[in-house]
Amino acid sequence: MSPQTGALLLQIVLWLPLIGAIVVALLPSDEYRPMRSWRLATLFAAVTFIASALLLIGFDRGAADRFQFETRIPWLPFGSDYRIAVDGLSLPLVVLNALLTLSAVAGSWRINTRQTLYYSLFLVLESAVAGVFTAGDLFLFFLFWELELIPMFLIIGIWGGARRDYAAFKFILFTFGGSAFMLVGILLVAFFGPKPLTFGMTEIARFDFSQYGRGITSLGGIAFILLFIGFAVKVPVFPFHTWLPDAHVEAPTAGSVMLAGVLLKMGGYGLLRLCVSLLPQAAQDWQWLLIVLAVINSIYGAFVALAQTDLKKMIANSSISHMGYVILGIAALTPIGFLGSLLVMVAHGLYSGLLFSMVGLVYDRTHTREIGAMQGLAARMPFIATVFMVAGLASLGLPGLAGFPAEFTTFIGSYNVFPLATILCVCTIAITAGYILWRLGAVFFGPLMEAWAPLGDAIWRERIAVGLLAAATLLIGVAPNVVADMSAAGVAPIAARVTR
Amino acid sequence: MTADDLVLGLVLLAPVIAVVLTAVIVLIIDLIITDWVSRRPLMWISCLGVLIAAVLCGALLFGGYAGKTAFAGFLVLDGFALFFEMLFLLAALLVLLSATTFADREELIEAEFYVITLFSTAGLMLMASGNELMTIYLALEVTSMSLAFLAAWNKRDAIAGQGLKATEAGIKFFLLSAMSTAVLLYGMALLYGISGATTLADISKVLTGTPSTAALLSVTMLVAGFGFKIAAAPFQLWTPDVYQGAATPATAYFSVASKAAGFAVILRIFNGALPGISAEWSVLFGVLAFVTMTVGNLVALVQTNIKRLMAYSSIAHVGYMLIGLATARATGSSAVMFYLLAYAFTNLGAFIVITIMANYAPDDEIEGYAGLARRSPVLAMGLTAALLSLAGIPPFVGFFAKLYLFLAAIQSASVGLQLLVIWALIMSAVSLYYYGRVIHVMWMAEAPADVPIRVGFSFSQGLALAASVAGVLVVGILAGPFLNAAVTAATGFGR
Repeated sequence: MSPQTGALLLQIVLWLPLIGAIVVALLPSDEYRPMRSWRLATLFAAVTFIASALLLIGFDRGAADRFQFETRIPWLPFGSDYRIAVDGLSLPLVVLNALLTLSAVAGSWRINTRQTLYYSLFLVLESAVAGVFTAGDLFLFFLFWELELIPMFLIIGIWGGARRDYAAFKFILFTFGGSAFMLVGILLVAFFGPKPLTFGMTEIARFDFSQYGRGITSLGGIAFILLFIGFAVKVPVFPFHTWLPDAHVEAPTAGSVMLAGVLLKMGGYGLLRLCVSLLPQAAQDWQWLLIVLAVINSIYGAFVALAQTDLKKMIANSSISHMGYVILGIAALTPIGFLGSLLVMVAHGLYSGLLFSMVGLVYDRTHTREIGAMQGLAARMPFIATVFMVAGLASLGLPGLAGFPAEFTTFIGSYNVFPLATILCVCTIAITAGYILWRLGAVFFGPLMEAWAPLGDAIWRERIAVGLLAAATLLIGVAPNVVADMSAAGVAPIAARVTR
Repeated sequence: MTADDLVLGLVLLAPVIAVVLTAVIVLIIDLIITDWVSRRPLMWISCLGVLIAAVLCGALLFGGYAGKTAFAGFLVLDGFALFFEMLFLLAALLVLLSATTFADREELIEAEFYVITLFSTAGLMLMASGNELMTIYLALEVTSMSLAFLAAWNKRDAIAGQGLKATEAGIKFFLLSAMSTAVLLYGMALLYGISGATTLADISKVLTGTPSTAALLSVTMLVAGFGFKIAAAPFQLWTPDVYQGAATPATAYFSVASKAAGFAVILRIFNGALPGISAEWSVLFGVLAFVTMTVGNLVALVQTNIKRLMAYSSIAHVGYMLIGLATARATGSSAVMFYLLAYAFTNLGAFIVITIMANYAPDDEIEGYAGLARRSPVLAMGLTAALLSLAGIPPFVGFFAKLYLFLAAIQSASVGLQLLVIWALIMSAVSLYYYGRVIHVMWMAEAPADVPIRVGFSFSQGLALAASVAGVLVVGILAGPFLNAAVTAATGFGR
C-alpha cells in the first residue's frame, strides 16, 4: 500500500465515525422506522473496521518501529501540529477499537430509547479513542483523550442501570481529575523539553530529561508521576480504581464493552507511549512503584472478583486484575515485558469485550445477573454458553486462545527482573480459573431451573456481533503473530531508550 | 492642540463615536415615533450601528492607524485597544440580539435597553484605549452608571415577599461600584502624588526600584478597586445577588463585557504604569487568584439557581485569569486576552440559552431545565457545548484558553505559579461537577408533565446562539490568528 493511500485510509478510520455520528444524530427519531439508526451506525462502524483491517494488511511490518501513514499539518502557533500516524504499538489498538465498536454497536439492537443519540455517541467515542491511539502530538493526544469523556458520561448516565447518575459522575470526575495532572505533566515535558517549544512526541522522546537531574524529585520524576496519575486513573491502578466497578456495572452492555475493551487500554497505551517512552530514566526511578502497584492490582482485583455474586461485577473486577498484568509487563522495562503488556491489552480487549457482551445477552433474557439465581442455562442457550466459556477460558489463559500468549509473554518478560512479583501475579491465574470456572459452571451447567425454561438462544444479529470477537480471540490464540511481530518491533525503540 | 491632532483624535475615536451616534439616533427615533406596534426595529438599528463600529475598527487596524496616540497622549489606539474594542462590540451585538425575550416583557422601555447598552459599550471602548488615569476614570464612570441602569431594567420581575429583585440589584451594584470607584480614585490620586503625572508612560518612569510605602498603598488600592470591578474574591460578594436580580441579558453583559473591561484596564495600568514594581503586585495577584478560584468553584458546587451558578462560575474564571496577570509577562497578558475572548463566546452562549429559558424555567432554577434535550435539542446542545467549554474540555475554546494561560504560567519558571496551575487544574476538575449537574439535568432527567413540551425562541436569539456556539467550536481549533492578535497586542507588556 502506498503511503498516501495509507495516510488517507488512516484519516478515514479516524474521522469517518465522527461523520457517521453527525449523520446518525441528524436522523429523525426511530419511532416509525425501527432499526434505521442501528443499520446506519452499524454500516459506518463496519466500513471503519474494514478500513482499519486494510491498514493492518497494508502496514509495512518490516518497519513497524517507525510511524507510518503519517499526516502532518501545521496547526497551533506554539509548536503543536496536527500529526496522525501509526506504528507497531498503536496499530493493533486502532484495529481493536474499530472491531469492538462494530461489535458493540451491532449488539445494541435492543436499545429502545433515544436510539439516534445512542448510536451517534458510540461513533463519537470511536473517533476519540482512535485519535488517542494515532496522535503523534501531545497536545492532540490530550484533546482526543478528553473528547472521549462526554460520550461515555452520557452513555452511562442515560442508558445505565439503577445507580447510573452516581456511576456517570464518578467516572467523569475521576478521569477528568486524573487528566488535570496529566496536562501539567504534558506542559512540563513540552516546556522543559527541546527548543524551540514543540509538542511532537518524536522530538520530545529524543530529548534527554536526565540533564535536569535524576531521581523521583527531579523534573523528569515529577513529570512522570503527573502523567502516571492521569493514566493510572484510566487503567485503573489501585488506589484510583474505585470508579471502575461502578461504571462498568451501571453502563449498558455496549458501554461496558467499550470501557473494558478499549478505554482501559488508553491508560496502558499512555503509560507506554508517554510515561516510559518520553521519560525512560524517570521510569527506572519509579520502577519500584509500578511493580508494587502491579502486584496489588492483580491480586486485589482477583480476590474481589472471587467474592462477587453478580456476574457483571465479577467481570469488572477481573478487569482490574488483568490490567495488573499490563502494569507488570510495563514495570519490567524489558522489550519482552512491553510486548507482553501490549498483547495483554489486545487480548483483554477482545475477551473482556466478549465477556461483557455475553453477560448482556444473558441479562437480556433472564433480567438478573445474580449467579445464584441462574442454573443450567446451557440447555436453553447453547450458543451463548459456548461463547461465554470461550471468553472465560481465554481470560484464564488457556492455550489456543488470545489470553495465553499474552500472559505468557508478560510473565517471561518480567520474571528475570522481578521473580517474586511475577510469581505472585502468576498465582492470580489460579484464582481467575477459580472464579471463572466455578461461576460459569454454576450458571450454565447443572439441572435447568424451571423459571428459565422458556428462554431462547442468541439471534443472528447477536451471533454476528459476538462471533467477530470470538473469532478474533481464537485467531490471536493460534496465530499470535498477527499482532505480535509488529508489536515487538513497535515497542523495541521504547525499550532501547530505557536501556540507553 | 493643533487641528491635525484633533482630526486624528476623532479618527481614532470613530468606532466609539459610531456607537454613541447610534445610541442617540435610537433614542430620538423612540421619542419621535410613538405609535409603533413593536420597537423591535430599534434593535436591528442598534445592531447595525455596532457592526458599523466593528467595520471602523477593522478599517483603523488595516489603515495603519494602529499604535497612534492622540490628545496629547491621553488616548491610544494600539492593537490592545482594538482587540478589546472588537471584543466589547461582539458582546454588545450578542446581548442585543438575545434580549428579545426580556424586551417583550419590558415593552414600554425596550428602546432604553438598547440605548444604555450602546452607551455602556462606548464607555468600555474608551476604557480600553485610555492611556491616562483621568481618561480611564471617566470611561469607568460612564460605564458604571449605564451598568447600574441595566441591572435595574427588569422592573416587572418580583420575587414573592422580597420585592423587586432588579431594583435591588441595581441599587446594590450602584452603591458598591461607587464605593469601589472611590477606593480606585484614592489609589490613582496617590499615584499622582508620587509621580506628579497621570499619563501611564510618565508614571512608569518615576516608579522604579524599591517601591515606597505610598506606592505600595496605591497599588493595593488599585488592586482592591479593580478587584470589585472584576469580582475577584474577597471583593465578590455583590456578584451573585446582582447576577440573579438583573435581567438575564444584562447579566450576560456584566459577566462578559464589564469583566473584560476591568481586565483591560488592569493590564494597561499595571503593565503600562507599574512595570517597575511588578514583583510586588504579581504576588498580590497570585494570592488573589488562589482565593478567587477556590471560593468561586467551591461555592458554585451548592447552587441550585443557574444564574447564581453562573455568577460563581464567573468568579472562578476570574481566578484563573488572575494567574495570567500574576505572571507579569507579555505571554501571560496575551493568554488573558485570549481567555477573555474565549470566555466571551462561551459565557454569552450559555447566557443566551438561559435568557431563552427564562420563560420556561421559573426563577431560573436548574430543575426547570429538566429534559431540555428533548424539549429543544438545539438549546440543550448549545448550553452543553458552552458549559463544557467553561469546564475546559476540548475541543471547545475554553480548553485552549486555559491551556495558553497555564502554559504561560508554567513558562514563568516560578514555583509558586506552577503550584497555582496545579491547583487551578484541580479546581477545573471540581468545576466539572457543577457544570455536569446542569448537563445531567438537561440530558438525563425527565421533564415534568405539566411544563410546555417545546421551547421556542426568536430568530435573533437563534442567530446569536449560532454565532456564539460557532465561536466556541471554531476559535479554539483554529486559534492561530486570534492568538497571534493577542500576542501582537500584548507586546511590550511585562518583562
